[in-house]
Amino acid sequence: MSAEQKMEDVERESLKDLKVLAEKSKEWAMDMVVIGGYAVRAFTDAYRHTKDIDVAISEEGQGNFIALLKSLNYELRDTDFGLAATKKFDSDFIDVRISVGKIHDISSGLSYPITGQLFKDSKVMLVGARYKNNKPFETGAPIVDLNRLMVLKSMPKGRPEKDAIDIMSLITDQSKSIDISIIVQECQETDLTDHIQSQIQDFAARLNSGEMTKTWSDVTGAGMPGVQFKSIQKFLRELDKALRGR
Amino acid sequence: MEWVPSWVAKSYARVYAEKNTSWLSSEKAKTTLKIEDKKVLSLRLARLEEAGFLISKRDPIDRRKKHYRLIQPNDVIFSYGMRLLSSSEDVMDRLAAASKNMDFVIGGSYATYVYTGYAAPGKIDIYVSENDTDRLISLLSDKSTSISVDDMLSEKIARNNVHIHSSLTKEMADNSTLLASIRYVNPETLVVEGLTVQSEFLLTDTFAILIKKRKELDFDKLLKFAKSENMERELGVCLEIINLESKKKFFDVSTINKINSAADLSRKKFFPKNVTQETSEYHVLANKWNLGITFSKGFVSKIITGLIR
Repeated sequence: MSAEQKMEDVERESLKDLKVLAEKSKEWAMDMVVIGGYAVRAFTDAYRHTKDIDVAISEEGQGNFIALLKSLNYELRDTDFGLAATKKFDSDFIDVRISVGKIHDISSGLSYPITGQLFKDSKVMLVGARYKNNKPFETGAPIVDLNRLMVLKSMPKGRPEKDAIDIMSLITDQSKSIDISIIVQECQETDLTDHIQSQIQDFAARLNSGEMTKTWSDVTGAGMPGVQFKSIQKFLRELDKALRGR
Repeated sequence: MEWVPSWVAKSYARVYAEKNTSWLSSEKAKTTLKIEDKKVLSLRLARLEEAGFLISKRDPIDRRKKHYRLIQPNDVIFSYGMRLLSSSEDVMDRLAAASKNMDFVIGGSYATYVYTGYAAPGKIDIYVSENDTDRLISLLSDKSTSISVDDMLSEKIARNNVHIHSSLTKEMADNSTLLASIRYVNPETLVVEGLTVQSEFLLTDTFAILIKKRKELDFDKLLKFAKSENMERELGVCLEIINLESKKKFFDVSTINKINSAADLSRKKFFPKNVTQETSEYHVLANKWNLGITFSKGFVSKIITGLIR
């Protein structure tokens, strides 16, 4: 079996599980919101392969959510970044990373608090498939709001290339819908302004040096058109300026 | 599979008769094909490209303009023959069919994924000699495949994203591993490539191979490659970090000590390079190897958690 076929198969299985998680959380009135790669997928084209499911849940719903994952044949374990569940699929694995109380970023040691507002501001959106054959398995799920997603995706330190692709995808496809003033406000309310500003500056430097365009082509398999590059550059400049002027 | 429609073949023949396989602008294509309508012209050229008869590239100065070049008829026929021999339209099946008749090696993250099943690749990097590049483009072209060639990157993202590098060397071909009729860059080379480039993805690949293929790796070969790139310290420290984070003795202390005693520890280096903020968790290892270790514990533990279950 080719690598593409394997990736297609595991995406299909993961989308099926996401559908069950979304449906059951609604049926059982559990607060759950998708925050990772699939949240980005809901706002953008499927620029990169993803199969893992990242969710934030409320503390009250934790028991039911764990039971639900077990019924889907996931094995639960504690990790450095919180609770995680894993399911073997063929020779691959699907991981569900569950944040309760806070969304912790191990690379920076910082956290984003999970409040009732996070769930209130989420919307059910369609999570698309990367592979044509998986179109029938596209599913609706509650997705974190766009501006918070930008903050969450900007948190990891080091050189997290998947997050970089996600930020570039969000800016490319959603620049008109992202509200910089809300991002600034979010950062202030969560005490993340200095961190996010430094991350955005680092990201802009990596974009200008050509590192990010290389990453983009490595992950998507295509070059980044000049128009897209300029629009990302402009957005980052504006966001940096807004964060400075807080 | 079907040969192309006659109108596509006629377009090819008309351009070939006038321009052979030299580059031509959209304007020249328009006059050669006698097509005034821009949309019809770009559709015709796109169809030729999808069929593997033509290559296009953007003008490096004016990105709105495109240039086109036909692929030699013998290469087009060869690739059509290979497609007929292929068991399916799948890229890997086409490559398997062609592997007896041309030399190419798959490298990068795709090769790592084949070895380890970890970290899905975004593209297939194929190394081929310059002489065989057009054949390979013709063989792999279709609607669901985007093809980049050297620094000429594709503009579309497709189900299959192929990056052809016309830089295959004899050494690369000799140092490859045959799996299901296709040659892949060997795992030892991929490990050292990741240690040398030090991007997040390639370092992830390095860790994945070291963990998943540890029993099959040729350590003498790995050490030789690492030494030739002056990456012995980086290799040694990766082995130690895997042992430390997995809480298992995946790699012998004697192997690690052998690398340590052979390595040049005289000048401090940052690992990964281009980052100067050191991670406090690995300071003992950092001192032992005289390295400024800059990747976070989170980065390593995520990979190790994903690979050791």
